[in-house]
Amino acid sequence: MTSPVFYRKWRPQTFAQVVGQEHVTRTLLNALKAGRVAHAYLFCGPRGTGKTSTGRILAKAVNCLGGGDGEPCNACPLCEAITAGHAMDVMEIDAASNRGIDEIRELRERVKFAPNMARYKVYIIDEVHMLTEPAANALLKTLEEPPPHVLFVLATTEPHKVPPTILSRCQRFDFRRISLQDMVSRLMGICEKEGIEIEPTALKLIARSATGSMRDAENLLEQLVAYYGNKIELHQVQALLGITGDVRARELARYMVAGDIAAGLATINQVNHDGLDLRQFNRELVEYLRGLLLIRAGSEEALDLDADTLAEMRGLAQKASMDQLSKAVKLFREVDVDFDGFSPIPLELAFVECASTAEEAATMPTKEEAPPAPQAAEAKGVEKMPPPPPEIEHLRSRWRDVVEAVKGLGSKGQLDAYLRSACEPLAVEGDTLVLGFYYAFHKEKIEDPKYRHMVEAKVSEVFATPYKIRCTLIGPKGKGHLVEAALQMGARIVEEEE
Amino acid sequence: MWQVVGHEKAVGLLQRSLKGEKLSHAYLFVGPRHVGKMTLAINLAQALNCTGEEKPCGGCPQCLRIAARKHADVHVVELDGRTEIGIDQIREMQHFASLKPFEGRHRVFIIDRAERLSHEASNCLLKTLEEPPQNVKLVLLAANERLLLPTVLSRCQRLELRPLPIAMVEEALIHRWRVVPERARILARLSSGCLGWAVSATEDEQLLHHRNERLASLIRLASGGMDERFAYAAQLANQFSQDRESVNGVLSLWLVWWHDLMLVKGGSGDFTANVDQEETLLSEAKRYSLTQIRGFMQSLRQAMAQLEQNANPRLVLEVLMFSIPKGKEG
Repeated sequence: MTSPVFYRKWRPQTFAQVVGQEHVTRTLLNALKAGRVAHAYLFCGPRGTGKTSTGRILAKAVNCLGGGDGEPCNACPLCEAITAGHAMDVMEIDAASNRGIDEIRELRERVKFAPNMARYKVYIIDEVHMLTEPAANALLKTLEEPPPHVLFVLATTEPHKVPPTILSRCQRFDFRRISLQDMVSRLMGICEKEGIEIEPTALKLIARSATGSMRDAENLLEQLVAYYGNKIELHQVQALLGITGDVRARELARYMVAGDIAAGLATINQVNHDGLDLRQFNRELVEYLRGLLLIRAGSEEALDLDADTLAEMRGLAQKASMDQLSKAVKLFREVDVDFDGFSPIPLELAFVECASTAEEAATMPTKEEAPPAPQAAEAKGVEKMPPPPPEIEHLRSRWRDVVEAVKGLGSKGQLDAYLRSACEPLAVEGDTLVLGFYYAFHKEKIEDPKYRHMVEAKVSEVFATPYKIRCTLIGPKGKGHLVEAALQMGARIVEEEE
Repeated sequence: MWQVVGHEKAVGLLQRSLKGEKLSHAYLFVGPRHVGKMTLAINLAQALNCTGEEKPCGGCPQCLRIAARKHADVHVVELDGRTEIGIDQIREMQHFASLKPFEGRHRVFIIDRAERLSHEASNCLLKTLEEPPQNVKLVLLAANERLLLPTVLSRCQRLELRPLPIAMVEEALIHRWRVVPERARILARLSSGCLGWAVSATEDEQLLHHRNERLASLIRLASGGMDERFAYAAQLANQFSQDRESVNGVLSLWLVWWHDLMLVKGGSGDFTANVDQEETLLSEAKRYSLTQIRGFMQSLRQAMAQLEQNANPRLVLEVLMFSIPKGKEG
């Protein structure tokens, strides 16, 4: 149990070993060579990209007795002491634990004293974003003009939380996420030295799931070694990461397109029962659906697939509508954000929603085809003679057209507003159209002969039938869902206000 | 003997690491509540300090003291009735971590419900989590790792404890806890793979009784009128201000119930949890359309999320009552 974990054991000890941060290390090396080291540095970047490690290397480099070309020698007593973490002049401070003003005051007191053995006193302040505001302010003066023998290295994952006054006093270096190649070659190096046999594709998979953080990748590798020993194969990595590589994601997509809810729910529950990672399963599903979407949209070239799969997907894509596919991709993508643990419910909900739209779409055409036909006939009939009794229905259904036609007329061109939201067609009495108004104000406006004629003309024009208009007051429209609920619960209306 | 039931993968990994002396200094156990995270963590602490042959033996003084939570070197950091784990608790832990083990060989710190670590506390933990003093091991337990800082996640070895297969829970209940098979079947299904819940249900007769009561009131509400629903919402809201967990329990019970309805309606009734209520499920499922069921499940989940975010409980619950779908009569 004495051997430390990989990410501590293989912490880089020279600038050359820091992976993927050449823009930082080269600058620092040049500064060291030229003897132009600044007194305060700020290292920012995501987790596991080498901030603290670089800070420690820098502490060694400025103090190293070996006198290399900027790189620490890692052999002199000072380098060794710093690596082991017991050098008196290199202070690593956890700003998240010592975040108050008192701790910073104490630091200010100590900064004045000359270093014990080394050339520089180096303060590495990690997680600097957690300093309280007074503490950060107390540090400002020291940070701006420290004694000549002091070097500050601040490190943080969240530079946006660091006060700008601190930012402006430091040389800032942004650490990048580590690229796939860099990470793979680094992991390869560790594997060689540890005597681990592993396929390059497996390493690539590890690197990809680490999303640019070296520490995550080393942790995963260590877990693999602990679990499978020194010989690791691709399928073992997949198993650990919960990658299904499974045909069931495709099955589910097929059920979704077919609208087969029973089979789909059974599939999801089976996947859950088998102990697969649902999040990963969902990711594969989204990937597959995206493929379908691309094929449906006619851009197959974007996909890197073999002919058989492509043919299969093409068949499936033809059966689904563009809307359905894009909706499915959207819904299932949201599922990923929604996952709260190990329940299949979010996935099931998304599936049922997508699949039932498929079902509706499948039954829709018959429903849709029936109504349009009579409507069209009605529309034709209207032009020849006044329509039969359900006339008012027809008027209501095309009331919007009347409103459109009136647009821009009378009353500062806002006559249409009165017709749109302040009234509704109530009935037809012979050649008179009865309009019910909610409020007296609007009724009076339309009753004004000037405007009434305008409206009558337009209504007659739209329906190709001469109509007269009569206005009545019907009182406020509806009561709102709250009032209705209250009524349902036994409330009485005592008084109404307008 | 590892006491934890199932989780062969995680146990296997820990065992191998113990043997190869390659144990990491920080672990994160991720899994739903009551799935066995704490049991496994205690087992690990025992294995680290055990003086017996087969570690953890469970019989040596060390193991016994740890199991009884009396060991001086095994600390559990937990909520203690508060809403989050504060920086003070972590500082105290760091102080203990700096001391040498007192009676055992390793100091083990178990942080229960690590997702409730406050922002300051998690940041405070980072350095210790990355490079703890010698012979210190940290175990974080979390149900929802998404709430943890990425910087915390990347410092731990993550072990996932998934819900156990239902059959395994059933068997464990029958053989280890001597539960009557018929009862074990129901409990296993209801536990949705979290053995801890089922075990506490065997010890607490009230638990099942409460559940039946709640289900009955749920069904009554679904067909009842608005005044009844509102009264229930008010009652729940009152309860919420005193005891969040129990209201969450009610809502998750509802969710499971409607989930069962969805499964029955969707035609895969084999996976339902409420096996003892099969007939009610069938008749209830007939009353709703699939869209209604789905819609209400979404409202339920939304309500639960809103309660989690400290929305006004009464409003949330009343809105929820509104969205109970209208079923067909009969």
